[in-house]
Amino acid sequence: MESIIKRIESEIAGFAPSGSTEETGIVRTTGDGIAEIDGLQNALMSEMVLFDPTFDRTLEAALKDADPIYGLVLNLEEDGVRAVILGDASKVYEGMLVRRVGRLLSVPVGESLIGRVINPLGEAVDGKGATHAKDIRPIEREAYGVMDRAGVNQPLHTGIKAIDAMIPIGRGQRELIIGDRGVGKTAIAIDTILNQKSEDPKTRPICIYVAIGQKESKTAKIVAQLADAGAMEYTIVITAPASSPAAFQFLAPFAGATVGEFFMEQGKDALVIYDDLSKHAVAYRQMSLLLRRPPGREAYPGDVFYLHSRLLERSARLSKEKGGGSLTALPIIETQEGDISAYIPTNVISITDGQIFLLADLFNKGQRPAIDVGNSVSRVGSSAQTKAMKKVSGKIKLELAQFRELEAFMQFASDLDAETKQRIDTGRRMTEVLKQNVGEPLPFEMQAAVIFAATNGYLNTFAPEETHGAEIRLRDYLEREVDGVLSSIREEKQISEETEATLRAALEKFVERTSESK
Amino acid sequence: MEKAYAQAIQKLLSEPNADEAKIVTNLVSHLEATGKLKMLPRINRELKTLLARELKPSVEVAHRDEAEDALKAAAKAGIHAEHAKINPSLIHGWRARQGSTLVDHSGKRALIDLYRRITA
Repeated sequence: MESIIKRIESEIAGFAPSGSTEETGIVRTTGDGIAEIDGLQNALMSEMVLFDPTFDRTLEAALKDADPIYGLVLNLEEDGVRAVILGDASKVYEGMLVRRVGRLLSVPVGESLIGRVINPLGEAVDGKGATHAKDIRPIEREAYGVMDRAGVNQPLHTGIKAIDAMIPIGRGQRELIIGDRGVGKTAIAIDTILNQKSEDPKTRPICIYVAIGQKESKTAKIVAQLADAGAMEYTIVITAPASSPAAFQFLAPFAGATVGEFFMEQGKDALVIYDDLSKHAVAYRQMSLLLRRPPGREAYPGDVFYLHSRLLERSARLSKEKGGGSLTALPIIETQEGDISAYIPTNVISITDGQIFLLADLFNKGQRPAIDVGNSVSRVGSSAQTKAMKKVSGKIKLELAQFRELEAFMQFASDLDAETKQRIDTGRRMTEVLKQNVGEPLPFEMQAAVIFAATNGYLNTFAPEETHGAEIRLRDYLEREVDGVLSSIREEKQISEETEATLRAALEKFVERTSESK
Repeated sequence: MEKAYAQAIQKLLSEPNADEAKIVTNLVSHLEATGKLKMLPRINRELKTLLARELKPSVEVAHRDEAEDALKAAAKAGIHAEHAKINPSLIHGWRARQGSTLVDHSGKRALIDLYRRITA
């Protein structure tokens, strides 16, 4: 025992700390979360730096507050750099030593993040301990090139009838959800995550919800909703709340894209929701103005388009050679008074592959989801739509468009000819069928069966205002009493002649039964 | 603009036989003549920054008896200081600085790094 103690003592006596040569700088001025640093001549753009409060303190004082404060280099200047402080900016002082970390801003990625709530630096904020994600990736990277990509040809079902039927989304697509505040943008995104529960676990996309500048209570509510529905099993939440520094809000979507890319590169499908990019643009504007970059339109910096295009370009469906994974993006934009021609909305509309436009008027009329079918479009999703959905939904958009044209004449209903009246009633019925409660996404086979019934006149025996109730009863009937139809649509992804015959017979029986009970 | 003035003064001062008093007098009269005299405090601030940037080589050691070895080791790392300053907060070892280069072989740094690794 004594010899071991002596051995350890000699080890301690011979301890020679291994040091290293590093490049350092000195904080010249600091304020509003930005530090102007002298030195660091070799620092790279987007490199992490460490503000070191321990340099001029005793060990005892240093260990009382040894948490590292990181910064992100965003301006390279003639004799120094400007960096945003990723932490408590009040602890950064003039004359403080700053070290180069030697790597670009990176986040930990891995399977262990699933089910967790993290901040944009990859640190757990759900109180469940460290994430243990070992792989580290830079948050900024170039998007995949043309040759690495494949066409979007697999559907990503949102579980919302109006979207899956008329504005289908494919895996690898970027579909914008746009509308005023409080019209159900986040609800569509959350329903999409919830709907993945009904997907085959082998092909189920990993969902990443990125909350940018949101109220923490809202994010907590969403996490609880996802957990209650069992959706956290395949979901990661990245949060940069409204109370966090602008730099965190700026980084959050890039962290989300990096985590999503990890799964895409494993050959899996991932879905990332950016809620919302309007607040992201505002955070970037704040940072840019504090970094003294010249302001442009609406005081946004000149590169705000590039900010969003380089983020959304990272969504892709990879070629077979690259593993065939995909990253689908659902960015959200909040408009003011329905103005989609403002700066940021037009930018993001032009970058994405389509948009789901939500109208406050429709929402207030009780049409929920409040999708404006005329202004909503999916540019690539139709090639990813299942045959079953394509077959049943072909007529809907046309019928609804005709209905919108005739809607204005509804108040003169008594003076209209029979054909016009019938068209209006069909449109009203279809509008009722497309209504859906929040948090109740439907599997695509059920959507296909319901829309089949609506477009083939099986719900015409009901008055338009009764259609929504009838549709709920129909779903219940199909689920409980009709064998094989839903499962065959799910497996075959189409409505074969045989299935169609069985479905028609079942629907006739449903109509007969409900007519009797009237 | 003040940065350019400060850099010009720094260049003048680096020349042999530079006359500091003459440089200052000429600068003030030039600023007066061009109506830029209010720039003088800002030029002075820039000069202070330039001075701070020209950090002279310094070596710190935890104990006096480590000084000789530390000066030699620092010289090997390219930092040539004439004498070492005692800084007991280093606990053990030495650290040297010149310009933006820092070489830290102190026990304090090693312990803080260890603490951060363990508590991360």
